[in-house]
Amino acid sequence: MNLAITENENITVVTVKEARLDASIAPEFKKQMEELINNDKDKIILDISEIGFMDSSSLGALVGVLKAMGNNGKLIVCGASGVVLELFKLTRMDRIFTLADDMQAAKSAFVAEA
Amino acid sequence: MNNINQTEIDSELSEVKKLSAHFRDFCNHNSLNEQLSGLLELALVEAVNNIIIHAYEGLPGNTIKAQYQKTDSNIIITLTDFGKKFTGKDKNKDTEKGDLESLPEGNWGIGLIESIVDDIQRSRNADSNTLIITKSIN
Repeated sequence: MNLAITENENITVVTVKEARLDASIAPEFKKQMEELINNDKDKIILDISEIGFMDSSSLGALVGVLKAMGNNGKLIVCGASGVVLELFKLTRMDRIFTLADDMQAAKSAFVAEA
Repeated sequence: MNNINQTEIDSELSEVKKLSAHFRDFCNHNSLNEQLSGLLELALVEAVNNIIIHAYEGLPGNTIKAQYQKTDSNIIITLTDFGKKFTGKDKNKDTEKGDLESLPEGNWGIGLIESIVDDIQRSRNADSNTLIITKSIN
């Protein structure tokens, strides 16, 4: 499970460096994200633009991450496209997560809230 | 004209990507578009995950057989396993009610498959389960 993590103006950008996020690596993904949250990262942009395929187990892990952030933090998921975006829509999770088309839109969403 | 392809994997979640790759080859060979290929791959993966987790209770060392068929009007995916009978427990479409803590973290698999394909047939034989999912391509 390869995540690239950068910090910029109190925003943590996590880029998933995997072409596929599925049930075999979803638990490790959730664990790494929860470690970040436990280290007081409360503004996170999750860039999933490199993911070409994602299953519902991974979406479940993402819901777990959202719960771990609680109501005090903010998670923006950016770059979902194709069947990955369809997964969010078919499960209606597009209404639960804040989705941004790209990194610029995701950062703008944080700036707008500040 | 029918085009049939088949393979099998062991009942481990890490094996599912091999099935995905094999199915993508089938889709490419049959010139299915990216949107349809992606959605059918999702349905296939959800079905196989369910077999591994529920029919085989997460235990490796068991066989999952997959067959893909393209007819003039349909894509037909047939999955066979030798695990426990399907019980239909995995179904969760209720994602909009309640607060953050009550959000589901799973059980979307069957609902997803139903959303993607046009027909689902299940049968239980002496020692095996067969799932046939059909998607119209007309």
